[in-house]
Amino acid sequence: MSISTRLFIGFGLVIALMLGLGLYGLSQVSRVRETMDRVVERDFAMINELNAIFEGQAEATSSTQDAVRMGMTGTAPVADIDRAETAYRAAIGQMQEALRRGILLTDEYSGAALSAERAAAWRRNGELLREMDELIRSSGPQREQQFRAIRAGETVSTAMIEANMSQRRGQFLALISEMRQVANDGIAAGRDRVRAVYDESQLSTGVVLLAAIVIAFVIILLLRRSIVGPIQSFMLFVERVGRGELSGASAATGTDEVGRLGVTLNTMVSGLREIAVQSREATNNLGAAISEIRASTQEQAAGVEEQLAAVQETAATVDEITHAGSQVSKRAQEVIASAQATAQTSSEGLRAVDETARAMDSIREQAEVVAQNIVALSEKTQAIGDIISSVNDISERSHLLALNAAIEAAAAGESGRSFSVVASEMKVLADQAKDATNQVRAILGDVQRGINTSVMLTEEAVKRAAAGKDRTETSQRTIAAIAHRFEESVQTFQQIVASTNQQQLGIEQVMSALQNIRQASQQTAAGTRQLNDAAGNLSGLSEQLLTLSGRYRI
Amino acid sequence: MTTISPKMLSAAGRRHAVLASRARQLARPRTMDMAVKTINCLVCEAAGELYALALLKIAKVTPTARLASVPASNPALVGVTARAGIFYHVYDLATLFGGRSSTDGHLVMLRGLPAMALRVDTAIRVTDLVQLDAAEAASLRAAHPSVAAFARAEREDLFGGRIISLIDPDKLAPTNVVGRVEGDQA
Repeated sequence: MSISTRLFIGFGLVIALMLGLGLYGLSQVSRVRETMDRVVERDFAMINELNAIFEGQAEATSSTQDAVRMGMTGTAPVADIDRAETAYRAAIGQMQEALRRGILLTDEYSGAALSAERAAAWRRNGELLREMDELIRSSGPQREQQFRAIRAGETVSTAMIEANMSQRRGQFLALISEMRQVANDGIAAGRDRVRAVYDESQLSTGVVLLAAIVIAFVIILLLRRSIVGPIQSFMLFVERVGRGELSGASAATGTDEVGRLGVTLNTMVSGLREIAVQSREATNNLGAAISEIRASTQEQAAGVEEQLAAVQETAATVDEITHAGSQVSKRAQEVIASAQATAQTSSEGLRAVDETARAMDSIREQAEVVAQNIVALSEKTQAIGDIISSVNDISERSHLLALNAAIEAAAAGESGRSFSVVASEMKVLADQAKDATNQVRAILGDVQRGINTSVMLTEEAVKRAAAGKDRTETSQRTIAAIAHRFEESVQTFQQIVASTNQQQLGIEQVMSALQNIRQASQQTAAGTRQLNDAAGNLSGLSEQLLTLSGRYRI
Repeated sequence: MTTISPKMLSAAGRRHAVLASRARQLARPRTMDMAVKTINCLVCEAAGELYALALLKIAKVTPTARLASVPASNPALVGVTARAGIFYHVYDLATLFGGRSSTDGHLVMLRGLPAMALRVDTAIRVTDLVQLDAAEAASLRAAHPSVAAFARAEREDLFGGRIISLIDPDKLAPTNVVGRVEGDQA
């Protein structure tokens, strides 16, 4: 049988015991409750009937009181007497009915009482109820006689009958009082009976519980014996394995759970054997790896030192960049001021260039007027040339005339001598006129060349004025473009200033980051030292692990 | 005697100078011509050379007019022209003397028959020439048979002392031209 089956059966028996115990306890509780219910129910029913009797007696008494009082005075109306008599009869009927039910209940309960005391009480109550019934039956004729006396106006008779009825009423109340006392005694007897039933149930329940405990203990002992025995042998096996003896005998095997546990332990031992082998190899590898880690940590420590130095240099460089950035911002602001001044100067230059353009236009117009004047002068010079040609022609003619005069004078002989002198003088004058015209022609040529040069220069001046205006317009556009560029430069430098400020903020963040890096590097250095120490410790642990792995005898 | 250039004088001074020169020429004694033989000539220029014609051989000097061309084998005969009802054969003096001809200039119309005119570049002036002596003229060679002698201006300030070829018009005429008659009036 497997351990699970054994455990199932054992715990099933225990659970069945607990279930039976619980059911027994519930039955005992139900018995106590039924006893209590029966006592309470019977007592409550008896009390109800007693109350109904008492109320009937009180109703009969109250219904007759007024009629009796009026009868004793002799002034009772007939209708009131009839109504009182009717009420009296109804109350007497109700009371007799309650007495009859009470007598039946006492007879019933006395036969099935829970105890002898309660049986005696029920019988006594039955007797008292019968006495009450007899007393009421005997009082009925006298009360009818009293009503007749009242109708008859017999006051003395009425009073006498009333005195007798009062005596009977006292007997009735005494019976009721005794009945209440008997009922209280019955209630006390019922309570004692309930307590007795409860004590009996408690005792029987405790006995049954003790028996269940004993049975459960026996079941547990049996289970323990069937389970712990094989486990003890496995514990010895495991202790041997714990001492590192992996090459000993295998654990016992079987089909139950313990047997399968033995199989598992054997498998575990073989696995441990393989693990020990692998652990030994891994320990050796771990030692080599630890050596490499120590070398690496030492290199890392050196690297961290270099990193710290680099961080210091970077911080110094960033500080220089910060200084340079502030210089850049300062210079940029100076450039902005200079550019704004230049932009203002450019606007003034634009106005000056505009004035220059207008001056160029004036120069061009004046140069065109000068050119027109020079053209007119050239035309007049041409006219002078024509005149000079005429004068030259006249001088040529005078020259020839002088020559011919000289010829004629020579032909005239001695008489033409003086004429030859005149001809000679004419020749001189003609030559002088010709020389003068030649000089004038030369001068006029110079003037013409000067005019041509002036025309060319004027045209050149006009062209240069136009070119100057074009260049002025170009300069105007250029200066406007320069001013625009300067405005853009101002904006650009303002952006540079803003960027430099942002750069300063960024550099502050970089400085903070460098500070963090330096702290991290210091922490890394400390961590590296700790890692180196840990690697040393790990090396010692590796040696210990090697020693421990040597414990396993494979 | 210092000669003052007329360009340096005012109008009144120039007038006074002209009158003074005229007075000096009129007062010059004629006996001096006997001492130095001078020839009153018209000095012309053609192809850069100076030529002189005796003044009594010249009828008139005119500007070169439009010439009527004539068919002739003589390249120096550049055409004919008419003046006062007389046809003149016009010869280019530079071509005659082997130089390069010119299209304008002056026509020097000669006296005598046949009527002939010489086209020169310029008829410069009328002046007195002094003929060179034989020793001085020996080294010179006449470019044409019509060159009768060589002379130099009497006034040293004229023509820069250049030598002037004195032309004999009678020897100037070509062979097919009818002989000239001395003293004919144009």
